[in-house]
Amino acid sequence: MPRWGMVIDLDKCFACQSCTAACRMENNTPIAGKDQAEMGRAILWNEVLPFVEGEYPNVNETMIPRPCMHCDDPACVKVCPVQATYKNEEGIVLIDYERCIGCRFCTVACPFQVRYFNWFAPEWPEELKAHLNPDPEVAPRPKGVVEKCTFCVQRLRKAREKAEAEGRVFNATDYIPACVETCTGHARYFGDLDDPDSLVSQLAASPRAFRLQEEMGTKPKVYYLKEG
Amino acid sequence: MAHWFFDTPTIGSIIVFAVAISVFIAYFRMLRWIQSAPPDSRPEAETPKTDVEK
Amino acid sequence: MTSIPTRESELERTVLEPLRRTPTGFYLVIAGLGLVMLTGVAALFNQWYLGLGMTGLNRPVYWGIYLTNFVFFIGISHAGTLISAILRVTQAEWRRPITRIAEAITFFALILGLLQIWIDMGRPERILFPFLFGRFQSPFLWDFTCVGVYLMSSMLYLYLPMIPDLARMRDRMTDAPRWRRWLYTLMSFGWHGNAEQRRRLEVAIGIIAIVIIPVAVSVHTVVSWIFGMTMQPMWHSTILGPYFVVGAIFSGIAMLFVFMTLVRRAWHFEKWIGPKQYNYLGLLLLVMSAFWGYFTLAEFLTTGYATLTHETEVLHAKLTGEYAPAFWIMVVGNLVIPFAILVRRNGRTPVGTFFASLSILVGMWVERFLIVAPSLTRPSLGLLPAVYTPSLTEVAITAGSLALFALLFLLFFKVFPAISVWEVEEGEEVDAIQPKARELAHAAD
Repeated sequence: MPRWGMVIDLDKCFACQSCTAACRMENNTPIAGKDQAEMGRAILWNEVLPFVEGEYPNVNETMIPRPCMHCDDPACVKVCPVQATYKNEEGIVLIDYERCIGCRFCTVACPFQVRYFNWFAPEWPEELKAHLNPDPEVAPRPKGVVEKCTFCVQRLRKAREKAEAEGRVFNATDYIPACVETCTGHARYFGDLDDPDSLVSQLAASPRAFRLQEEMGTKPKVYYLKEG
Repeated sequence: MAHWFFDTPTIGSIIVFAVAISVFIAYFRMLRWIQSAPPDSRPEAETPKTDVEK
Repeated sequence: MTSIPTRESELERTVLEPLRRTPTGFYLVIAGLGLVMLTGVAALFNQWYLGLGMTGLNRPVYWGIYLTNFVFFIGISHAGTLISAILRVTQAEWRRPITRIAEAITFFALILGLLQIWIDMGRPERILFPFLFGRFQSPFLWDFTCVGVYLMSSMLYLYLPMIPDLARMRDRMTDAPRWRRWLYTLMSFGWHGNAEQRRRLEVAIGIIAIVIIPVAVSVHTVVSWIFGMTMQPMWHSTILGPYFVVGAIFSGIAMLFVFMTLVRRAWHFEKWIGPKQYNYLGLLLLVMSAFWGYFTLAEFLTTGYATLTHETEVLHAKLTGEYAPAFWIMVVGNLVIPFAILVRRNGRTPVGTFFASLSILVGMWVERFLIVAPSLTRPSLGLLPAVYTPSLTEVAITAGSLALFALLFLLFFKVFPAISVWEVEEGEEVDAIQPKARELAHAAD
């Protein structure tokens, strides 16, 4: 059983935000609109966050793309009263939208603030509606439930289906999330962390590798490679 | 570790109900016990002593 | 003592008066409260229809006024039970005229507290899911367990000491409307009140009074653990459990003062709820204020002395940031005003304690808000400080909740006596005996 993980090379990332856009198109996250976005209600499963250090004139800004960390010991899964959010056998943290009661305990428990809430019923401008991803697994979520990055789990299903249709054994490299596929600078790597020969597990062992807020002890499966 | 015990959905509900139902039964029996106090055969029973009187 | 006196005493007449006659003023109060409540209900339906976006909540401030209300009401619910139970167990004689009011506050505040959770849910129609798919690892399940037991216990604790009064009303209020006579008959379940039955009742009350104290403590502790079990700065703190319990008892006594003073004034209970109650309970309130101040100091100093980044940021938001005004309202409301009024003997009067209590209720609500909101406005990962401005929907629902709380209280005491008649009568007997007992003790020396 693979244990899916991601590595993001900050040296290669130039914060173009194409990951954010690709994620939106792949996963049908609704458009919040300007006012709602200013209130902090935009739904962006993947975000590029600026971290500013130091003061003028010695300022250093690091841009860090932030998907869900898919922690091995997720704080969100622990607190869910109804197991609407859970970690599947392959280490991906998912949400059952039919089960979620909208209490938002997981959203306050997550130390990375990667979980988003549907404040209203989802909406799209007419022009965009035609371009929604038809996959039923990413059908628009109803109002009042929590959603977040799934490592594009629907692509995993499709990759397995495709391998089966072609009569070959499913390979870990068959599956990559939309953000990884689209990444302009080829900064993102995706694969099986449990496979010692995989690129991600080798990069994750690099001396440049670190994880966000490791001190929280949630064991994130998204690794970053330090700049410089 | 018995992690599954805390992690499995519905087991939590069963715990909540088990506690609630046992407490309910205990309280209900307490009420029945008060209700079932036999009435006096004589209309003028001896006045009981309160704690202070004792 | 066992048999009901044939003629109505002054106490009985006064206590039953509001059950018998309804002045116009009462209707006006009910109408006013009802209006506020209906506004809240309208806001709630609107929110259910459109979504929680009607609130001022956002990411990362996912919890706000509703959770504040939840903690506040559950805190208020400690009024009753804990105060009345502790006073009963320690046999404080002056408790007798005020226990019923305290117990009713408990029960209704608990209902309102639970209601807030429902109001806060994104999918209110899935309210039963925690009872079907509950996972015990979630602190919410601990809450359901403890609050469930507390709800039943407080209901019983309100009901048990009312049985003899219910039986008396069954016998006395023969001119009441039929549904009420039926209710009294049903609820007094054939109470005859002989020595044995009375002994059993007192045993039962004694058991419940003791059982309910740890249950009440557990309830507010697990409420705090909803916050404490996360890793948010200034939530993840071991003091949170006891801090919540102390705040709960503190605000509970304040709410008891407000209601008992209003009821005393409106229904002329001055003869029974008098200087003794105000003095002793006022002292208790003062002690709780000091306790609360001590806990607050411990919490803030420990956080402030160390230099943990995220903790310090939240602390600064409270002390010098946008939450500083609220912080000082809390300190003035919970410490300065109560101390100024209550330390003096002539401050512990109905008027004095009433205003001290109002100030505490405001202060404690703000305290709950300062626990819930600021921690979330300082996300640990890269987001700028978030702003949370409660919306009109949240204000309307909060006002509606308070109105519903007062309504339940008033309507309840329209049907049931606000003072425990038989217990006060028993107290009068005790009063009559006590000097004699003291003389005897002296003689024995």
